[in-house]
Amino acid sequence: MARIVGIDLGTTNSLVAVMRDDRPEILPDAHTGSPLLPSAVSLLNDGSFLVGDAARRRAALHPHASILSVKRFMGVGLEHVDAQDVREHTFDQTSGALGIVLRDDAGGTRKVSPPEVSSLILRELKRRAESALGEEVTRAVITVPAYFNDSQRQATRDAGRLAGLDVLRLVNEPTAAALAYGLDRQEEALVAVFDLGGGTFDVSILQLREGLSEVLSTGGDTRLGGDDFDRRLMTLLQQEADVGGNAQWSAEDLAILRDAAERAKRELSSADVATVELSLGAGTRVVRISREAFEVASADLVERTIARCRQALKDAGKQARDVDHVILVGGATRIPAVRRAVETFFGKAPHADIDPDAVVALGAAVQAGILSGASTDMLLLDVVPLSLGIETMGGVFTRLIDRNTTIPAAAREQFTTAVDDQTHVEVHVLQGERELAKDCRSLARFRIPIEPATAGLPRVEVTFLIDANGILSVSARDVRTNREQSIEVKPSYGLTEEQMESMLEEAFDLAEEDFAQRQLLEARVEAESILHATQKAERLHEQLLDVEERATIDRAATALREACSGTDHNRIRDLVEALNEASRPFAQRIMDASIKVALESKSAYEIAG
Amino acid sequence: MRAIRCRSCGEVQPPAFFCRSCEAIQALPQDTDYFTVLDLPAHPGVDVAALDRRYYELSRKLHPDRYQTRSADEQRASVQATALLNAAHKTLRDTEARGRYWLTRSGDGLGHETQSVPPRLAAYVFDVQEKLDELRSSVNGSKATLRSELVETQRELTERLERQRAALVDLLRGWPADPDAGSALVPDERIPAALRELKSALSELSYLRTLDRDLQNALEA
Repeated sequence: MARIVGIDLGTTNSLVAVMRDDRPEILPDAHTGSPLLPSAVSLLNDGSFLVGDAARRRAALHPHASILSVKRFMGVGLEHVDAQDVREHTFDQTSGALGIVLRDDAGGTRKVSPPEVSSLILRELKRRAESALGEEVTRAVITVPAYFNDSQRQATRDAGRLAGLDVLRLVNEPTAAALAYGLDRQEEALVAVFDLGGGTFDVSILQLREGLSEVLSTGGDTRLGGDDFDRRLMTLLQQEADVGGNAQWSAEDLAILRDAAERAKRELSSADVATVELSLGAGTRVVRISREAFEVASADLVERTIARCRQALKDAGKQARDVDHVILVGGATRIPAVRRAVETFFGKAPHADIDPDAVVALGAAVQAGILSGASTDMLLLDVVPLSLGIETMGGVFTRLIDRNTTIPAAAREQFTTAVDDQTHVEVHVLQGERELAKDCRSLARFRIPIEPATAGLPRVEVTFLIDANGILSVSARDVRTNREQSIEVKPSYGLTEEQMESMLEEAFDLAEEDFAQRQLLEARVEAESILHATQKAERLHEQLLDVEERATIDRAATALREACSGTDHNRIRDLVEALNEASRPFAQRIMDASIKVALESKSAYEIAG
Repeated sequence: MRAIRCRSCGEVQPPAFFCRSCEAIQALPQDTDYFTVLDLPAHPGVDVAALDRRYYELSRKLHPDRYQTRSADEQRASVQATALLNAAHKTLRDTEARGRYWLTRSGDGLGHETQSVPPRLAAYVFDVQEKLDELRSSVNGSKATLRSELVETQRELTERLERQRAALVDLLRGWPADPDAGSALVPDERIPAALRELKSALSELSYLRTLDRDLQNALEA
């Protein structure tokens, strides 16, 4: 039987894993060997899409054609999108469901829905899995944040369907992490999952009992992640690099600083001091940052994560000392100060033997193994994260299924008419914990057709069923005739069945559908960035370049530009290398000059100090 | 007990999750008796440990995760069966929920009685309400004294709640055995009195909880 893969569809990065010889294993990119696929998508001028690393690199120069964290927009309405995202993207909700308008360089626009964008990422992972396994992959387990509501889960499942994947199960991310560590085998344990990703922070308190995983509480910050630590480092780098104290940073400088900050962060996870070279507009600088300085500059960020942990424990009605296991998830948990703070707060060393970037995907693969029937000793029982109910008289939210109810779960409710000869009853389904319907998240509306009769006489029983994925379905039965009634549910934020069908028909052109095509596109992206960098260096460091050398470099650049309009990716790569080669002495001189400046300024500073 | 018809082989039989002749999974009606669902004796004094064991055992057999590779029909049956199992477990595991379920099952319910003050609590409730009113209308000077009195009241209330819960557990455990079960030793007339007692106990608990919440809110304000 064909294998089922486990997928971590992350805000910043996504991964795919599978069970091999009873062990979960990440399937890396066949060509680069990278386990992570950046969750980035970028629209090209020909209307096709780039996905992953190339898309992320392209986003720096083409922000309006690219989306870096589509997960924030899954299954929500424009009113839930935060101000920063509204500034960065153009949204369009005219057709009911939220759309993101992308603009290519040629002035063309394309409206895409979040599930479509996610489906491109899933298709890339599907292809990755297929080339690694040598067989077709059509079934998957996908992880979602524990707090995802019905619409967000539905949107994730829609994305799978658009990618040609049958999503057998959506698993909560913290639960997947606990599965990867095999903690579900414990008799009984209280587990805290601390997930600090690129742009989001989630903390979940789980109660595990004989294979039952109950989410007691979740908390977090959708605007706190490794990127914030990068930004603090960036500020430090700017302070250090800004010798005169009045630097004007160009957009390119900022991009270089951002990259350097990320590198420095990685370096500081194991070293006490990080040294980075910055090829800035004003010249090249070599800057040293100590771990201590970094920790001082980011102490408030660490404290914010701990404050959220404190709140999550309070919500769960537990104390830090009750927690038996702490699991670290997300690349940013490699930061030593974060680990230290977690250990101090919970009073025990966190589990960190599994790669924090991979742990959720590995857990998804374990669950995939359970579903394929390979492992029968385990069973994961999840709970619904938010109460589900309907709007009743006076805009009151009436709960039908309480939060933390084990799923699948069902509730029945009888409806009748208020006036004579009423032809239908309207039902508004919501999810949330507040008293009033207006404060809860609208999921869907539907109308039940009624045979005209005296008010109060018709009786229709509606069954709300939440399946093992936390997704709602609704069915209705006329109590008097005992006939099943079909009802059409209109989702408040997701895609309607019709919209899904039409999207399935006109499935997007994925730029890299064929491998050669994809190599060409990636080579072009690379060529574009080096041509850009060369031009900039020539402009800024004219004095370091003699006429003859400049001519050599320009010849190489022209050849590369010409190759880019062709279709031979090998030729483009060769010419990229040639241009690199031609400009190497020039680059070296730029570097030497900047080190000299750095040393001079340093000694001047020291003398003054 | 309503008979069911197996969705696979068609045999008519007492309700159970697996057909007694072809072993096919059955989606029992959602209103199937919870004691039948968990295959426990129909008695309100449930042994929670035994209940949990039975629940996990059935979950392993019924959960949709076990039916991913089966037909769409079996998958649907598994989702419905597990939803029913979960509802039955949740209700029977909690003493108060089980008490309310037992009341409804015996053809009775709490109705609107929860709205009015249960007679046995009247004096006590009046006393606490008066203190709450005093706190709300008091001036700053006497507030501190009143607050400390109320903290003491809340402590008493918590103890009272615990005592009442323990009494409910005892009431359910000692419930007269179901005469349908053929026990001729237990006279029928004990049942109505027990039902009346159950009703009072449940509405008192519900009322005390509301009072506790009011106190908590007043103290936090």
